[in-house]
Amino acid sequence: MSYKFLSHVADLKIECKSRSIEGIFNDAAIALGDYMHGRKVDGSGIKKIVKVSGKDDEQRLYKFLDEIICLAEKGFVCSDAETKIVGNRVIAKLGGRMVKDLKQVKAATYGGMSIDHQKIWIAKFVVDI
Amino acid sequence: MKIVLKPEGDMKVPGVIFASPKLMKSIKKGGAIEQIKNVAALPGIVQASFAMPDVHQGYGFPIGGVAGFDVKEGIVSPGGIGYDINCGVRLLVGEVFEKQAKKRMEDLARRLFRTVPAGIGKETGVKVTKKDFDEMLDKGLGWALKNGMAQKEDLDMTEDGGCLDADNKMVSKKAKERGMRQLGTVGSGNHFIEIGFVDRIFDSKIASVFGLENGVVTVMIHTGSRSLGHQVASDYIESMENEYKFAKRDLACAPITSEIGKRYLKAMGAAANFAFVNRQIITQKTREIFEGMLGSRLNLVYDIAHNIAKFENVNGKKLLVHRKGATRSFGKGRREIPLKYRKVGCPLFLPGSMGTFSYVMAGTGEAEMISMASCAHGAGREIARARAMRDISPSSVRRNLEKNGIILMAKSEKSVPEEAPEAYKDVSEVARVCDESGLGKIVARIRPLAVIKG
Repeated sequence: MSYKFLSHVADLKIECKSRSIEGIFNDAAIALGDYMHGRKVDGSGIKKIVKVSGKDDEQRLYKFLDEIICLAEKGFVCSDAETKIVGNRVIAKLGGRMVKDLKQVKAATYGGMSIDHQKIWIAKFVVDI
Repeated sequence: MKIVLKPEGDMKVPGVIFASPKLMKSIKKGGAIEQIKNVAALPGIVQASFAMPDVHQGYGFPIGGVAGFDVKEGIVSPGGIGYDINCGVRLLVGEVFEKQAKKRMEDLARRLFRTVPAGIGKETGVKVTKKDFDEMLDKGLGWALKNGMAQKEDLDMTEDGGCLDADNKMVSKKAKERGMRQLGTVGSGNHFIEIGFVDRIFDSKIASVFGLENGVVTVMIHTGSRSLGHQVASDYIESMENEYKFAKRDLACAPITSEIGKRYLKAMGAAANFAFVNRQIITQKTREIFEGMLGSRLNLVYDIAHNIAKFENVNGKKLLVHRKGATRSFGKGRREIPLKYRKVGCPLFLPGSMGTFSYVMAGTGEAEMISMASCAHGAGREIARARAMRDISPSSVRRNLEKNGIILMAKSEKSVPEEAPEAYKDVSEVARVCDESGLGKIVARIRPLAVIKG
């Protein structure tokens, strides 16, 4: 599991690296949770399920991120994720916590989004702050 | 102060950047220039892809970008408006002066902080039925007036009377659900309520028309359509993607004349109306506090959008003008602006970052000629958020603000470094360039006393 925050002037740019495309989705959810919480989210007692579908990996990731953001509006941040992708459907089981006073992430964007696969999967995306 | 990017490659029109050499150093560092060029390649674009002095990288369109499109041949793009539809600023002026208000500033700020929900997920204290909510999306400030949340003068002093052409049926159920929870909330990030005072007048005649005088207390509110606007943008980006192919996804768009284009514009109108009402509800709460604690009314100077698309007449041609992180700058005589401002031009605002000055400007006839009647909307970011988080501590930001006599009330301490003054461009430089370029005329400067943030 690996993610990092990249430099972006106005918004938040995240890079995830994983051996699988499912791992990218897991990392993306955790990265967002850690950003919004301001530090590593500890605790995974609260469970949520996210289901989205899309015509390609970028659209699926975009819609997945949007769902994570919606959950955060209700106070949920993710510390753990297990994603399955079947055809064009993504089903993710998330574990996390309810937290007050999170940092806001307004929306997923396609800005600077790329998902590449050579030896490992590398995804980069920007979320609107 | 004007840099022209000659058309190359797919560009149909030039790029035009209004900036000083100092601002250009910062603009060149990010991806804004490439984005200005990409916008210039969009179908039906007219005249130029404009960039205001506070321009910086966005997604698809740059923030601080302006582009007008022919209504028959051109496109509408959610990315050219922004996810936060009708993010905007309103300025209120009190009947009390700095010396008097300062004695109670801490209490005032604390009361505002407790009364107006700010921060992510903060739910509204305003409960409305679904039917009311739909009516509000269609009628904007007209609904607020009908329900005792606005005065007639508030509608007069809001861009387009606080109501754009809208159809709530074009807004998804999900967007409405997200919005219903957040009506009357400030949000987080760079949104705020700021109490300040006029500390310098540059044009006394215009300031007098705007109701501003030295030392008078002001309140500035910066927020938008919250998650409802974001969801509308997401929904229609997806719809447009499903219907059309794009070289760059973040420039997703549709012909203005298409069914999707027309539906998006109605949904955008609804989200804009939500934002007008959002700022109005916050205004009413702020008014109650000011009247109760200081015995002062708060009068609306103006409410202006900086993420929106409007049908406007530009040099005799009807265009759909996209402004993303840019405000409309209408000069003397325009009948779209309130009667009392027609002799001087419409007010527009450049809020600085936390702890820095903000500027009140007046729209100009020159802007109508050179920038599709547009001006900057604020300071624009200078430093990446990740770097601000890494290099600046919340306590150092607070110490600096306290040194300057500014009270900060923030729901999320974690966000404070990202919004530190040093993370933004010099707003005084942006204001100076706007003034010297003819985009807007500096009228007054506001110094902050207290900032309330999510």
